[in-house]
Amino acid sequence: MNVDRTEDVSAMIDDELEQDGQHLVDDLLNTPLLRERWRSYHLIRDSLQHQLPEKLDKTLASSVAAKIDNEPHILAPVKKSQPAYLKPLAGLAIAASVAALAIVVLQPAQEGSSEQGIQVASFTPVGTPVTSQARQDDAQIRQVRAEARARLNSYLVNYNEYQTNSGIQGMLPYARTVTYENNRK
Amino acid sequence: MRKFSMFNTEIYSLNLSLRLLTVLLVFIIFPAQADNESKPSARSLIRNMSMAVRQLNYEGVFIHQRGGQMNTLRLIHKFDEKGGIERLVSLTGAAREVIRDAESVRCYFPDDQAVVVEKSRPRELLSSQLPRSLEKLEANYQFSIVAEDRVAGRKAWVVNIRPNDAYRYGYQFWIDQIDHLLLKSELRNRTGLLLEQIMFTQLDILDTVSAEMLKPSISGAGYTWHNNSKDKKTDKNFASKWQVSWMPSGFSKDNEEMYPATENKTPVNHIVYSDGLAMVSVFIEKLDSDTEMTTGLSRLGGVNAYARITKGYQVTAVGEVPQATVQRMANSVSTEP
Repeated sequence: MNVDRTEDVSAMIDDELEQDGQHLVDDLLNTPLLRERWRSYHLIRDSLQHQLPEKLDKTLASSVAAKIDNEPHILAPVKKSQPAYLKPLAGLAIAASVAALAIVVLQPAQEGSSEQGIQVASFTPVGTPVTSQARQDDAQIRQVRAEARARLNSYLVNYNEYQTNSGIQGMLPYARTVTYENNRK
Repeated sequence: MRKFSMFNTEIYSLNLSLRLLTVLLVFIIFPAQADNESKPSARSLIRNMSMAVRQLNYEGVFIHQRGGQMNTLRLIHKFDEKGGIERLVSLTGAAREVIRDAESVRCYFPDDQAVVVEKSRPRELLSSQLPRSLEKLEANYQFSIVAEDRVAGRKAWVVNIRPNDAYRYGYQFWIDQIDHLLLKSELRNRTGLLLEQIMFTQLDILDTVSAEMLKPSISGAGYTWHNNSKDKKTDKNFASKWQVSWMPSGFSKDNEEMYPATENKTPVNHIVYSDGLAMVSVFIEKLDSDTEMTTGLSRLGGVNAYARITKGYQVTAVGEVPQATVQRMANSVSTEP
């Protein structure tokens, strides 16, 4: 490790680092030499300030570091950003009755559009040809525009009506019709 | 699903011993009622449930959850000879309502200042339909009673319906032990992931349902009314040139009908396929040159849709089934005989 970095470590301890602190921290964690410098400089400073403990455990830092190295890397889950939501019926462009059918919102299924969606998209059915095909198309999913949406939603109303009539759950499919408002922004 | 079932098996064995004890106690205390405590078959429970949801008068509040969303709704159901009247009201968000009777389905949308009226489908004769479809179901699903539970203060049997392949979803129904109403319902994919659920928090069986209870709280005055109930012609015997050549085992054509699309009057061909539990609708619509084209997958809770364009027609499959199913079915649509 070059001299500049060890100087940076010194500057950091004195809280005088001017830039690039993030990279230094990364280097520090990855480089035994810099970790050792960090420890030494702290020791020197503590000594100068008469803050040394009675007994020094020189192996402590390296044993902690070794334990950290052996830890599995845990990646913090990153929340996927929601896809831009298309307001149904925005404006008067859509004919009224078509518009009205946008009551129920079938969301374009984009990758990562919801927590469930991710898992649904990645679940693996036994028939592998189907899955690989589904994944390919997943990547090609397009933004559904308002009119197209309205058509989809009218399909959903008709589907619901059929399900309500012939299914075994009675009126419950209509719950979907009544509860989409949380999607609206 | 495996983990899920194992878990249920544990509950089951625990409950089995508890239940044996209960049965024993009941037998000692009330010998005449002992039969009522014995475990019914999953099939008979499902049959009873689908009768009960239509043939009883009841009023209840339930939670509907899909994705990250949760809503509360009130359901009122009145039985009558013509097929009953139902009213569903959202208690969260916009105060939307759906009122359905033998003639129409009226949807009130205060947030859109709109009322949509659709023609309701004629009620089928359940008694003739269900036993047949239940037998058909057993080839593609495994039915089991996995536990006993309590929902909305009522004792329930927990019936698990597990699909044999990846082309359909699994269900779990909590069915009232006495009145057989559906108290809770879960839709899960094959890996056990919960896609959508409803659960009653309160449910009362009523002797009568007053007309007042079925009246919409919204008058609809000043709203835009969209009445689609008049021009919809459905013909049970209609059969188009369109064929769906692939569908999961156990699926068959339930119905085919033609109706005009809402505004541009382009006729839409609607073919329904079902395995007795899961349903897939295939919609086929001719595209005008300026019609916006839609392709690809869409999703709402447990409902998936897949659309594609073929020979100037848009083909869309919609169903409470996995993406792969709607996709393969839509892709198999052709005009070949």
